[in-house]
Amino acid sequence: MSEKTEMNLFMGPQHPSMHGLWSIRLTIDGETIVDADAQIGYLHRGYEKLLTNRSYEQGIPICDRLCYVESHSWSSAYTHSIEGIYQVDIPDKAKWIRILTLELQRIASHCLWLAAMSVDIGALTMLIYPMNAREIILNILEAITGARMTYNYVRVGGVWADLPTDIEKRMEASFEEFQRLHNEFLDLLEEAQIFRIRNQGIGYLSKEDAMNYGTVGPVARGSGVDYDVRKDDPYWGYDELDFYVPVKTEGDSFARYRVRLEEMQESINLCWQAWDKYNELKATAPYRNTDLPRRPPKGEVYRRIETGRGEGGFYLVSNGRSNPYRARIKSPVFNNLQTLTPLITGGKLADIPAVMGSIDLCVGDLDR
Amino acid sequence: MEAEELIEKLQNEFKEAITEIGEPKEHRIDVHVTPEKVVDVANFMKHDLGFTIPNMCTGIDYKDKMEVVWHVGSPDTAILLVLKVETDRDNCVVDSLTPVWEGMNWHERETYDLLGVNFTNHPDLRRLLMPENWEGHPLREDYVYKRPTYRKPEDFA
Repeated sequence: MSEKTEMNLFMGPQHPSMHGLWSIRLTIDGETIVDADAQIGYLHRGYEKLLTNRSYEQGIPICDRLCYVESHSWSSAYTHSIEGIYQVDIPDKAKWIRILTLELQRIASHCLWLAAMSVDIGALTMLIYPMNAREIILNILEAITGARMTYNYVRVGGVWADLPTDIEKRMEASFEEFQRLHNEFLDLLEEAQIFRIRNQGIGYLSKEDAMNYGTVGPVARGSGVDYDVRKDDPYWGYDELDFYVPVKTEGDSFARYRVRLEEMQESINLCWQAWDKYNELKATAPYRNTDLPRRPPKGEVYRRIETGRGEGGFYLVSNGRSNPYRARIKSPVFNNLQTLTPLITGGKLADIPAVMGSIDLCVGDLDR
Repeated sequence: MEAEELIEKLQNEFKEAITEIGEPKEHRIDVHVTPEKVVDVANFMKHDLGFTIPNMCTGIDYKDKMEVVWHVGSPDTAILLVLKVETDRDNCVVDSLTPVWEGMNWHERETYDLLGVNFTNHPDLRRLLMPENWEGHPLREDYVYKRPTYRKPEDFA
């Protein structure tokens, strides 16, 4: 055939496998993808302007809404940056509480990702199993913070409240139940050949590309880039804890999936370690530093933490007033989604849900 | 590589292009560069110093000048190099670093979209977050919000 056989196709935003409001403008030749152009910004809410229009503290509950899947990570990241601007330290107790809750949030976030990703590639039963596991983790978070989705738990200088007294019993029971569910859904997924066929060797990202595109988090670690902010630029008390960072060199969808699963196990381990460190402190030890300056000094700061999707942080510029002069949110999904074109061009149309699922999108912090 | 070693290497290589190097603070080193030499400095950072991971790019509108800021990281160290370039606010033109680090692509598109910084040699400088026909750049200090004019259905034909 000498005629041009290429066709343009809009995938999303109403396509069921697109998580949230974004779309891809595809050029396809038969079933093969020739070119792809991501269209984002449907959910742009102007967060950076919202933050500069408010005082530092007023921005924390807004940052909870950046990504509803892991709101605690984002409010912690913002608070961490504000503490950099104010130049205040947080008490030890607050550090361990933050690490404990952040790791719980990471597990919850990965559970939701697993449910969504499995449904994308057709394993519809898998929707309920990780959601059930997430529910167990959310129950612990609810006991600690008083809310289920948008926690508003961290404050500048510490956290809002101490851990409840029955938290150890809750964690013991919940992690046991979580482990049982975890083994169940591993059997469901990895014993099934279809899951492996749809994921192994799909969406290959080389180590050079992963670095050159600036990918972070499990996407980078699935391609062999050994970079984790918790290990490489430790904040709070992560340098005192003993944990390993799972890294895979295969670079395909399956590698990214394995990295996240191993991270969940490692997070449970970190939760217990943080709990032990917390227990070494006196019960009356302070969990919030209330000795803050009235006005922050001039200066700028960029502080980052490892959220479930990778390195997330805030670049803040202060001119001495009570609101930031400029705030820039570094979103992990924004960096990771740039690899869209190299990941899916040359592949088949039906692979897009599997590849996109393994990137773990959250349009909330992509568009900001 | 330690922070002092990095600063020394950068200063030896670019005596005039680098106007100022800030004190290392929280693993960040501010490198102020003249606009003409920014691509050379970036290439040196990537190929000789091993800063292969683009982190982010943004701009700050200081009312009398525009500052464009690039953060780049390295897989071997916690240090982030912060490239800073100052330009004229009304005629914002800066060399793009997307040819050096592919991952700066969307970051520079966003900076163009929200702050109106024009990156020369950028492969694909379009609006990213705002609609294509949006007027003005919303994060500029003198931006006044106007109700957007939407395209009529017949414009799509």
